[in-house]
Amino acid sequence: MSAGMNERKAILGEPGVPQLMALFAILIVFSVFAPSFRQIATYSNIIVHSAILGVVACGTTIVLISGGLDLSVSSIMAISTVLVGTVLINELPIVLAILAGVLVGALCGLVNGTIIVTTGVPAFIVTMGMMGIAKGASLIIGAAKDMSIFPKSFTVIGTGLRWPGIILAICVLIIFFILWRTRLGFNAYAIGGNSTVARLSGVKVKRNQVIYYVIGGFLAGLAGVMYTAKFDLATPNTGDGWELQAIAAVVIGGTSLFGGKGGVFRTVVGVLIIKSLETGLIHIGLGSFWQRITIGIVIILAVMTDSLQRKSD
Amino acid sequence: MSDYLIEMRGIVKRFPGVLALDHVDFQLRPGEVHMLLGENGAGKSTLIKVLSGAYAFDEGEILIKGMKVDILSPLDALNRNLRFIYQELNLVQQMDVARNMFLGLEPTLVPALGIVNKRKLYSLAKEYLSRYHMDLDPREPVENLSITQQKMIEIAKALVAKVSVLVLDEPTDVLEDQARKELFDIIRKLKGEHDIGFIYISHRYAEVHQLGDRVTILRDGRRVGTWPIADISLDEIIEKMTGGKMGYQSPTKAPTMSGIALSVRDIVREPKLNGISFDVRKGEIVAVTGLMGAGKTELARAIAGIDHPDSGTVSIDGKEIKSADASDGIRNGIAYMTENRKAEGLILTHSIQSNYALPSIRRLSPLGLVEYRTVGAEVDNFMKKLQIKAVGRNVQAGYLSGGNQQKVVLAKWLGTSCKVLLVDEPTRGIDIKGRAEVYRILEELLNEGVGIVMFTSDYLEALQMGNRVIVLHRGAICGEFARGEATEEDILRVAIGERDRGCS
Repeated sequence: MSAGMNERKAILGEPGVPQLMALFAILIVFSVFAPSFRQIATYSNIIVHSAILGVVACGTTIVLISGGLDLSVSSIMAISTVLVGTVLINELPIVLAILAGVLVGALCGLVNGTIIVTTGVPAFIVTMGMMGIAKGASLIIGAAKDMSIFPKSFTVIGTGLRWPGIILAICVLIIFFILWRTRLGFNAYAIGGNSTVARLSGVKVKRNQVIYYVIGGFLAGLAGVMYTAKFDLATPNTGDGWELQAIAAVVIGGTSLFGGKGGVFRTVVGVLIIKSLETGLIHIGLGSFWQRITIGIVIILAVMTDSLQRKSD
Repeated sequence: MSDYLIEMRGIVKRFPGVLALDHVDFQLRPGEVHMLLGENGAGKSTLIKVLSGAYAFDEGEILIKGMKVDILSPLDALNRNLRFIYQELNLVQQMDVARNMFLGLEPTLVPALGIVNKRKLYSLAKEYLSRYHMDLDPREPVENLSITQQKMIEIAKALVAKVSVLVLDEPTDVLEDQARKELFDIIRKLKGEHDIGFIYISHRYAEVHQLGDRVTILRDGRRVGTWPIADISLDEIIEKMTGGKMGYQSPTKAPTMSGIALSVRDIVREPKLNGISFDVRKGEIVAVTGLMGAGKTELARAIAGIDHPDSGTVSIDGKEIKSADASDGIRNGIAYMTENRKAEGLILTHSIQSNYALPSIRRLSPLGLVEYRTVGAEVDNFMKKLQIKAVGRNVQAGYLSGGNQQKVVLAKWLGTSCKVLLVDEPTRGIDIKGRAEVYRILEELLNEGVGIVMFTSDYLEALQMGNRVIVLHRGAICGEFARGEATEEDILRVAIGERDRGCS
């Protein structure tokens, strides 16, 4: 029914058509200029590489929509990884390892959110502090341990396209559903749009904000689990720089850095844009230094578009 | 040389689906105060934004002193000595008067290094202030000054650079009567002494004849006409603005229902509220008025549960309620329409529908899932009932005119099925037609048995709308009048503390 479509459009904003066009343009350009890029394997690899960042970025999406910011996701991945590794090398059940990873993530999110809403210290500072704390903790836990060679039944959840793809799809659909249909999601847009209006309209702003940080932390923890499985390695160096990549993916996708607008499918497009660029640049012979430059430019362009749009509003 | 400072010829401005300005002509002479009038949405603001370079226009031309010019950006407008003063204050609160006046134009010791010549700065500021008859200390931090004084500094700031045209967009909306008179005095002196042309936009029609030399009226994006002020009466102005559609007054009836809807007892919140008690019956509208700073908004916030009183109680339907925040007030049937529509009432970047659903979201999502079909149906219903003019419920609230925005805020609170509605300055910045519609909606609510408290600094509005008028002075009730018992002057005397009718 068309009414349903309209509501969705009204809440989630227009689908990110320019971003989709940009993604296809990138794929076409690389396919034309790099014959090695022009293979099914490359395209499926892009999705494989996108899965873990995608899971992190799902959480970042809801945090940013609600007007928040979480810089600690990279360190949450690291502490999740070393906990998962510790559980596994002690030959405890795999389920316990996964639980440890996601719960420590949720706990970090809970601490982030609680401090932010009770003290009024800006999210930028609190989550930057958490970035250091979680990183330090994971270095202590993971110090001088070579945690690798995990059971195959564990590494499969990070290997190849199937399981990472399924996990990403589930995360995207759940976050989409939260944003699209639930009160929790409705409140996220309202709080990000104008938290004073939301509060005066009876929304429990603080309680909701804590929940968004918990979701963000949980998904970062899950990404840590996937990372451990994918590389069959638990090291505290996991996740360095991923917080910026996640924010970049969300913003490139077209979710507003300033809150109140956006959606999770856009984030998937943003992740794919980043990963296609990374992969494509390798195929035309430009290394990781060029990747950084290119992605830096893309981020600035994306935020510029967002700011210009705000102005015209 | 042309006789006109500014001449706008056949200006056309289109927005998607709307012809905002339809071949509008406008001329401003040096040394005149030109009142620009029209209802919300008539095109006043659009015309000013075209002049300021904020909007590009589609057809027409602008001449300054007879020369055709392009004004492509706000900077162009500044360079052509046009200055704009808007309703909101644009001063750096932490800096002093002189620094604000000369912001970006500071006299320097060594120009290349940008080192400010402080002595010269303050002596220049002093000179300007006295030239424009403003009795202010250049070293006073702006945050210590009253709103009126800040407004004057804005004007002084505009005059520091060479200025030939000064546009004032609803400058007095936030000012008290006395302050308004001071501002008018300054404008009169300036136009006489400096040949500046003023364009003055206001919704306070009493100002038109006090201040204006000529008046231009816009309606639906077209110019109705321009008249010397002596040739047109207030009634004629109103008729031309509305097209004769709407009367001016909207008196309310006596309350039709019995029973106490809201009971406020001994509310104290230092330092603003010093023990306030009153009752509101079902179907009754009580107007609470007083000077700025008398405690109107503080009282409303305390009743709504947003700020915690130090002591005192609030009861709805005889039941005392304890509020930790706004959500408790809403659950118990209190709706609070804030005075600041744009910052506190609406999420401007969100749709009408989202704004509507916000305070009712618990009801509209019984299992945590938002029932958008119900939401949509309710919004459509209210848009029809309140005559909200928009293409549909998905239009962003920020795109609506002030009157329509206020109706969306009303709809949003009506959706909560409140028993008590607190409205804070419900018609500020809204044109006559919008006002009449807001009043009509409030009256309908009274018929449904809602108790309304109207917080307003407009004494006339208080007298017209209130079954009773309560006057606050320094956080206490210093006077209460029944309908028809008082004049504006009576209220003013109590409000300024001149006549004490037994402050409670």
